[in-house]
Amino acid sequence: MAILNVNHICKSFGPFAIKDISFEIEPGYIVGFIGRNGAGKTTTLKSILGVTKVDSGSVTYMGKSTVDSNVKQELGIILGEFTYYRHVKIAKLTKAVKRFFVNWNDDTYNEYIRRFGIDENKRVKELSSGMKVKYSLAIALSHEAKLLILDEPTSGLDPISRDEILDIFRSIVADGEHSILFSTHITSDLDKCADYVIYIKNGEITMSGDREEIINGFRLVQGGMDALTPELEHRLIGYKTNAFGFSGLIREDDIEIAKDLMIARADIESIMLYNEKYVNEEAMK
Amino acid sequence: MKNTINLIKMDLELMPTWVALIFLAISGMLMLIPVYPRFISPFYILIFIIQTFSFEAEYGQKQFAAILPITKAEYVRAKTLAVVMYETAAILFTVPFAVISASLFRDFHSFSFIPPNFTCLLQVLLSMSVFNILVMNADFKGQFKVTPACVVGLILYAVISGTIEGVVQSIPALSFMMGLSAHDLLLQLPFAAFAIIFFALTAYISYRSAARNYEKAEI
Repeated sequence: MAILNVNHICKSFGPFAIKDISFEIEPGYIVGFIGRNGAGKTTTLKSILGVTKVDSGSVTYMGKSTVDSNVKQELGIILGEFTYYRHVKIAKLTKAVKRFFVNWNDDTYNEYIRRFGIDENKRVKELSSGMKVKYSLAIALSHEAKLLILDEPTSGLDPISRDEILDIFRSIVADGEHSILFSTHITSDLDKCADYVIYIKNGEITMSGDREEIINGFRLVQGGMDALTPELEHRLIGYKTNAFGFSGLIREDDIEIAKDLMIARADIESIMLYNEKYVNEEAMK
Repeated sequence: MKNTINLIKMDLELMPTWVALIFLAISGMLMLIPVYPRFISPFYILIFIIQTFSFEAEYGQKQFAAILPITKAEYVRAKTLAVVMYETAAILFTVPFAVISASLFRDFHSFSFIPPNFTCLLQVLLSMSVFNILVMNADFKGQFKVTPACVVGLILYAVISGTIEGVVQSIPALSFMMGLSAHDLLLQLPFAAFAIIFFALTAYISYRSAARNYEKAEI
């Protein structure tokens, strides 16, 4: 049974809007929410949490509204860089914050603080961007949250720290009772740990499902310009050309037409690039 | 209610609320000046309250509250209660100074503004009530709306207090409202009671209205 149900949420801000966003999250899975900057990832996450009031649609966690304060006890939330109470020392801030959480665990918190190397005597403004993210994570992970909703949690982290955080994500969901929904534009993070991927483009979900199934649904093809026939061009989702020829993205179902070309396995990054930057407008019509 | 109390505690611990002490000290000292409009004394706490709105923006309080397990209504309730708390503290703090002023400068009061009596309390509470409704609603409607509301609120504080001053001083039948005798204070009591009830009621209305606004506002 899904723990988070997002049902047809819509929200518009003038010319920009998220439209008909629907998905579910089951316990024990990591769901990666990907899209380019300005696609609607943060708006969607804020709508899920009730920070932004939606125009229509609903969001429920275990059947209850996500704006319910009891529900939020079970959510671990990161919404962007930690820029709050910049002049306050970490220890003092944590002391004020932990009062709100019924299941706050000091041992867990101290363990993460030690592991992340955060000096609690420092003020928030004295932390680097990466350390601020780690502090946000320490808070989000220290009150036995069942669902983590994280907006770009690895942003600003060095590769070693990112890998460490992704390891923590995998260990959290391993018991089958916890889930993570995290937004990112770092596609390699999804390759490393996401079970499901939701791809948002211009405020709409264009793709969602099992990560491997999504990746296996596409292929990268490469060849000389003479191989780029009109028929092939029409089937390519996106392509780019250079002095040596072209490279493009094609659906697995259409691979027969490109069987004589160099074919490679796609990845999330290439799927994004060929859907956004090198998109074949003609084929979209 | 627990979340509301925790939010107020967080406010007191994490924000430079010690600045309020400076404004309280100013309030007390002003009450001791013989020929001075008494309603100005607690007015300075409104300057501090306005400063808390800029703290709110600077510290990202609303955004931070969004990641805590609290509702928007609880946040608004905490803010409203904090404002009422600061205003009540200012009034209570000035009481001993008012008593000293009333005792020391009894002879001066016939030449000046409403003395530190229950009429003065009426003046202050009515003016603060209007200030609260304006600024609390504006703060939770969205960004950049609170500053004009604060300016208007301060102006209205002066206008309402000044109007009461003018009415009391110009109508002979209300001369008891300028007095400091036990008999005059007893006659002023119903006005003070009305003012306290009005203040509490408008605080509640401010909270309800602001909470409704905040549900629709973007954080």
